[in-house]
Amino acid sequence: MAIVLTENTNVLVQGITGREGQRATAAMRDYHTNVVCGVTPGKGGQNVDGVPVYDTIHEALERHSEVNASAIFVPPVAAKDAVLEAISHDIPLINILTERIPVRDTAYFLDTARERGTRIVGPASIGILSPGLGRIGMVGGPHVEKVYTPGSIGVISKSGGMTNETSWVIRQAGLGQSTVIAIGGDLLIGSNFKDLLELFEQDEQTKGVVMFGELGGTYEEEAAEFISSGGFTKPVAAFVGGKFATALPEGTPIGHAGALIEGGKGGPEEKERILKDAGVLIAERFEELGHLIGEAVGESTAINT
Amino acid sequence: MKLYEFEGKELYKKYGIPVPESVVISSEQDVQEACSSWRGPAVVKAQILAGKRKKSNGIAFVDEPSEILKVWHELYRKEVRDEIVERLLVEQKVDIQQESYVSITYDTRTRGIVLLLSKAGGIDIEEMAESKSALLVREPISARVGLQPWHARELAKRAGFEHEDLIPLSKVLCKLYECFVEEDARLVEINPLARTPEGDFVALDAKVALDDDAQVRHQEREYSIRTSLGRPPTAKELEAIRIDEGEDYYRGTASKYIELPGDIATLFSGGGASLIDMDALIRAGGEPANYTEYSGNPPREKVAALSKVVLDRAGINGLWIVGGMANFTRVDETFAGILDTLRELQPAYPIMVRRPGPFEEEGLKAFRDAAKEHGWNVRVYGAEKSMTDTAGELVEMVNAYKAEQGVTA
Repeated sequence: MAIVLTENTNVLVQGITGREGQRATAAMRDYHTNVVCGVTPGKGGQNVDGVPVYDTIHEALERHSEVNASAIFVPPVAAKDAVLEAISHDIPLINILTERIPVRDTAYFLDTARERGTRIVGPASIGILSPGLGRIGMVGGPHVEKVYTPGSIGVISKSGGMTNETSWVIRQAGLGQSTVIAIGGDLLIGSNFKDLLELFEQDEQTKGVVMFGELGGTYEEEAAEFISSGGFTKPVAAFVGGKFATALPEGTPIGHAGALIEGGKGGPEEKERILKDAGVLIAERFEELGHLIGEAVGESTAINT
Repeated sequence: MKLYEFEGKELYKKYGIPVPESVVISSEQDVQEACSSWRGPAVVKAQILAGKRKKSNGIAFVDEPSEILKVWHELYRKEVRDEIVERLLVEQKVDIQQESYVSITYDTRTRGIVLLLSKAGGIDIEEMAESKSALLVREPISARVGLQPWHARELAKRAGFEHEDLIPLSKVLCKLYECFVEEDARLVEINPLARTPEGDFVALDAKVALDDDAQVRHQEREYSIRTSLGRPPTAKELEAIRIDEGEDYYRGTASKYIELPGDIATLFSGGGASLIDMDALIRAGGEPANYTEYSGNPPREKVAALSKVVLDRAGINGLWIVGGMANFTRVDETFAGILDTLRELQPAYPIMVRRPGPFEEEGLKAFRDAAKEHGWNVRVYGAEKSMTDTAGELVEMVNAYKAEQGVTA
């Protein structure tokens, strides 16, 4: 079994008629995903490659009660409204792919989601992929078959591009993935490392997890605390990017909105040290992640170097 | 974006938070006017983005207005905490009975808004967190409910304020919260928040950071462009910032550029990849000429403009074009932009390319073809080569090139 995205996931796409929404819809359907409908206010009655479009989620759910996930591709200033619409209709999983959402809006909908028990992945997530079962978003792009194969390693990454690279080094070490989740590099995110480790712990298919972290925030530290407290008992390997940024003045955001050092906290070396103290395997070079986790789960059979 | 103290105080004033009377001086003429019109003792403060000004002699107290000139000469265009001082804030000296601390920001642990309040202020928050004597109240605030007056009073009480202070202080807290939300700030801090003998609360300092992603809601703002680098932006950095302006600001990002003193130019794609690539290049012994990152499938024109910013400068001995395996950013489209610039500049230095992703075959082939046509020294890889390995290879190529050119390291 995979986590979060399974063969029973039925996706509604918010912002389906936009450029990114259309491209992603095609990519999702190309990779086994059940995309059942889409919503764009004012464009009800149209279709995107045969996928019906509705004006409201209310209307979409009347016709497609099987919907249990929403993928959000609307522009940044419209995102809060779109997320609130999905939460209000009790869609249990919302994957926000929109980037550059104002943090004030994110705080608002995360607050609402917590109260309703909605799982949010993102914002600024590149998506979720369970090999052989489906993907939300365009994770893997055209290389999806080359990089992803069903296997025993869970992947959690703050970075979209590094989601693929991380999965690729795992594949190169002769392993496959259970579920791969891009949690996004924003300051506030709906699902962090710890939230997903909790799910991977329960998942029998997952034997170990690889995390790609970045400077800034406390999500790596919280994962370490969770592991130390016995919440996650399988092997974990991690890499934390952005060491050069410690040479820059505090508060300089690098790469992602949440990637900055504030109040002397959030440096990558410190994060790696805290993770290491919790028993996490730390890769010196990023590319070592595959072998590290492979050896730890006893499955490493490198297919090439 | 971080604001200077005087800008932060203008915002506080807009929301009705009491601030001392003040004037900003940034020219000899301003100083003359201030010296002649100012009455009473004043505090003169260097306007820089970094904190800890007091310890770095960036703050002076004057009894006579005529002394403002002396402070001006001591501070203007001088370095305070590695920043050049361009402006001073002359401010009425306030009678202080007690210095307190308040800030509102986003907290990754509670994944929401948090308010920090301490009766004891005036020192750094980091020191305060470590000091056992200062009681720091740390309270999550619901973004939906907002900070209610009863809640503000309760927090003030918990922080140890006297009952006569609860109402005036809670008013300031609620106004500060309103400012935080309405202005799309990432941080608002008042340290110290002074209590006067009359029982008023006055903001003696202002530390404000705004959310760049919310700029679209605040088009009326006219802040000078700045970096968080402790120096004014270079001409190239300003040029880069303009790339993502306009209606399509969110269609891909191609404006992140920090000018650095090294000789290897970089064009990274992807925020996460840019972090590990920068680390890898430095570990391999290379010296980056810039930090740059484009992502989110920006159009050809944006990437061409960014490449121009990165490459159109002297002293470059190599170029690294590298990214992780893209999900949806088109390699052909973005490379077309880079090639537009390379054709114009005709580089002699070595170029390393490593970039898998959508339309990678077309993109890499276009690069190889252009290199062949123009005789560029280029190595081009896809996913078969790791990013880290290409850093090492490029550094070797650059060293060989420098030896040929007779450049001494």
